[in-house]
Amino acid sequence: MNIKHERWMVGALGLLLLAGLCACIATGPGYDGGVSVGYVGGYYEPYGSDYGGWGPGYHVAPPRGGERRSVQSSTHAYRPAPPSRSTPSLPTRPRRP
Amino acid sequence: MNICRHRTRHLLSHGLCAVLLYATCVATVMAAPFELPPLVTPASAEHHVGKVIWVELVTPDLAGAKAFYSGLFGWTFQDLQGGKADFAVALLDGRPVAGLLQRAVPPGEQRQPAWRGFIAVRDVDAAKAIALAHGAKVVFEPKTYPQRGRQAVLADPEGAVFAILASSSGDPADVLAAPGEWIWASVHAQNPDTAAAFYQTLFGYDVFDLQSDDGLEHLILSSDDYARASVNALPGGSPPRHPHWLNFVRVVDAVGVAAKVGALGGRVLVEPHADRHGGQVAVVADPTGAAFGLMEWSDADTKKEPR
Repeated sequence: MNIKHERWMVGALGLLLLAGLCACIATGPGYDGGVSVGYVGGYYEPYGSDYGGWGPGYHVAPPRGGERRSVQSSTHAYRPAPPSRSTPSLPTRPRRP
Repeated sequence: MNICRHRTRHLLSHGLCAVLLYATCVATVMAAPFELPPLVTPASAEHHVGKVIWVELVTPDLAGAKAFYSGLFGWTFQDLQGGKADFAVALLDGRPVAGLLQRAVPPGEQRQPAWRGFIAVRDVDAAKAIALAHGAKVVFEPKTYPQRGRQAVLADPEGAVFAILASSSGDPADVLAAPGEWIWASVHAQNPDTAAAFYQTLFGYDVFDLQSDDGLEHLILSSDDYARASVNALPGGSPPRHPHWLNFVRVVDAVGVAAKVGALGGRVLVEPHADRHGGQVAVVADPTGAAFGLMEWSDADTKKEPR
């Protein structure tokens, strides 16, 4: 192995270390070596999502469709759907195989 | 002496080559962009603004989450990019149903894992601008993932966090969710009236006010003549809690699944009980505390297909 060969190896090693460094700067080291660093998502909720107080009348499910609606008042911040429209429900169509 | 030196150099040469090869592999993996799969395969031209089209979990324990949800719903998992990937796609019968992201809990912060719903929009940046103009805040700025689309995470004016997504492969079709798939979402707000107004402005929902037995507001947000989510008042009489979204998985037997949650290390937060449609509803949490709902929905529970 001559001096020229050794210089070549040292140069190549330097270049690759530089490439590795650039990769780290571009993507970050990641959680546990992960690949999703910078991913738009993964937000932890603040504590306090307790679920007490769901009494028997506390309904969250969608209607079957066509249920009675509350008596409309004009004081809502939202625009209520016209009274002539019945409440919609979930899709019924099954997934195509 | 010369032979010894020659051998040392020879070994050094091979060693360097091995290091170079390893470094090249590491650099290639680290430099590879994080790529998410498309939402719809094959791509479609369908778009359903206001529909929850994807749901993702953030958890500090991806392996534990996989074991839990696999045992509960029979989901299987596909790691993105293999190896030490920190993102997995959950599959049900080969169809993607959710994303699971492993991320460390921010040190020193009182925070808990959560499921996050992604609501369909046509233009993420335009939706973000509308949301900000009406009191929302940006949690994560918009970012594009070529196969997935463009997405952002926002907090509504009360602080309930939700994500928006302009899918580049179209939105999933409006079909009845199968058991084990996400079927419903609800947002629990301090003021359902203003919360509904905010989401109506953002997604163009029609808003329906339903009669409620407990006197609390129960609003239905709809688009394309399908119910997309409910807005509920946060129930009183318990410790203060922050406004939030809650996503529901369709189940055949809520009581049985809730019992299984406990056996798998999770907790039942709201015991199964009959809801408006007659089916059972429950709220549970996985072993790390991420809450989600269980909802029975029989095929006969829905009205006839809209026109």
